[in-house]
Amino acid sequence: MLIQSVVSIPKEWNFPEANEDCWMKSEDNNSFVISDGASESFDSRFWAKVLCETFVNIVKRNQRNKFFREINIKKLVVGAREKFNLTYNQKTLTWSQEASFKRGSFATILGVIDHGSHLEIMAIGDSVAIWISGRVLKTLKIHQHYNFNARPSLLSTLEKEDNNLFSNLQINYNSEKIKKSNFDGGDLFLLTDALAETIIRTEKTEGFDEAVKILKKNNSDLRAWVDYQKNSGLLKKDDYTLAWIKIYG
Amino acid sequence: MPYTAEISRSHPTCFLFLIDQSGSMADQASNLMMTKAQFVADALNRVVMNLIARSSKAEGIRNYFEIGVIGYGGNGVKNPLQGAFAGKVFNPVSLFEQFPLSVEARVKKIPDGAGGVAEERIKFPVWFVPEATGGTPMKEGLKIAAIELASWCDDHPLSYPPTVLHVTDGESSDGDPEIIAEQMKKLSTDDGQVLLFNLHTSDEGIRPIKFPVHEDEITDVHGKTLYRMSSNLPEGVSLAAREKGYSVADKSKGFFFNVEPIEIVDFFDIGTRASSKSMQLR
Repeated sequence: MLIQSVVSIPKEWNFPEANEDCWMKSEDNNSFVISDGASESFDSRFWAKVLCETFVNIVKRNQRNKFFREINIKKLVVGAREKFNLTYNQKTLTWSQEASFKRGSFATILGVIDHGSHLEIMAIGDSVAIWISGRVLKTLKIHQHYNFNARPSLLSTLEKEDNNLFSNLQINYNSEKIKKSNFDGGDLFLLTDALAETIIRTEKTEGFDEAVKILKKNNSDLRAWVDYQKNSGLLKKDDYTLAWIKIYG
Repeated sequence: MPYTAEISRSHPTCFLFLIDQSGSMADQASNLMMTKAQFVADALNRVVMNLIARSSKAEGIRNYFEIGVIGYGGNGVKNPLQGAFAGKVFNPVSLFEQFPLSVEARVKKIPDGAGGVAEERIKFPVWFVPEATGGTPMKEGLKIAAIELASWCDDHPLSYPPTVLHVTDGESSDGDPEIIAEQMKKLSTDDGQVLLFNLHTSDEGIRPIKFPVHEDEITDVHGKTLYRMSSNLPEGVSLAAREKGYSVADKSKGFFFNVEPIEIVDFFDIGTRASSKSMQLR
């Protein structure tokens, strides 16, 4: 599994440091993850980063072919939360930071693990994996007929949010093992919600080829396309991340 | 499509709280152990705190919002905020973060997870203090608000349009406010017209009406006026209302009639969620 390209475009072009999307890969290329931090939450950029780091570390400690289970999700949330909370000492926060901190930080996670002959893809929230099968774009089950306007379940820095997440894990979480040979062209794309929604819509309205053309745009072409779509009101305003992964073996 | 502009530091939106400060607001709010004016002040301070919390990032406050308050009552129509806010009606959210009048230590009751209630100490900033005296110059209040909003819209043509959250417990004492309200609602940015949401509070036990669709639902003449003065809910606000459990139809108006004062909290919360969709709150 190798990264062909990753393009991440901030919602406010003049504030690139405010991009709340994050991506990370393991050194051995056996795992790759993206996370989309929710806009209205305290330092969700950092929360997304901590989730990515924790995911990569958990995968590294797991032996190959041990798949991501509910227990790993719990480890992921608890481990990431500990690290996040260690960084912020509430006593040193101003009243407004404290108020924001108490509202919590929220983010998606979309991870890929290379198990040799199979890839495992796992997702919580509305970051979407897309791959090609014949002349059709495929997604995880959780993202088929997905309502991108609804509020997604997200991983939170607040412990109280865990109840909702884990009691409905079969709805909120999806992990699938897919034979590498099922990825036509060896292509896998990981996208945050705004781009994913547009790609899925494009396939329906303009056809498979148009959707794939967008997925395979280079950095500058994708940025120009996003600008045009955004200014035309065809793409909702958000941070945009598109990772193109090549699968081998 | 209106009401879809991106809310950003380059293009902030604004919220204007138009508050009835007439003498009747000094009446006790039922079951709340405080006057209506005190309760409105608490609700307003809380919503400002929430707007700041929504804008607070690790590196500081992002000025997504500008906030203004106009009060009308026996002391006329004025910006009731003091100190750093006295110079102009609309001020950026970061200024509110910097200059609360005071930060009180309060106790909040929260579920303890075991069926009981636990107490949590919170810092509660105060910018707005209650006042209640004299008549109800609503028409003049709306006029001053419209003048301020016209100027704000001129300065922010690309922004999500202003939202006015008006709270009153009575009838206008200086004439029919409807014409001014209609003029106010015609003010616009490129993204749509000014939104005016009205709340009428009363604890007389009359049937409360929330987000009505038809004028016929309201029998009171004054209530009908407030209904007509109210804007239709744009999609983002409808979504926020539904998430709070309210029944909202496509043509619902942003209007609460005859509600108990405690409903002001939801009214402010939903009204300031106007921005949710535009901020792509996920």
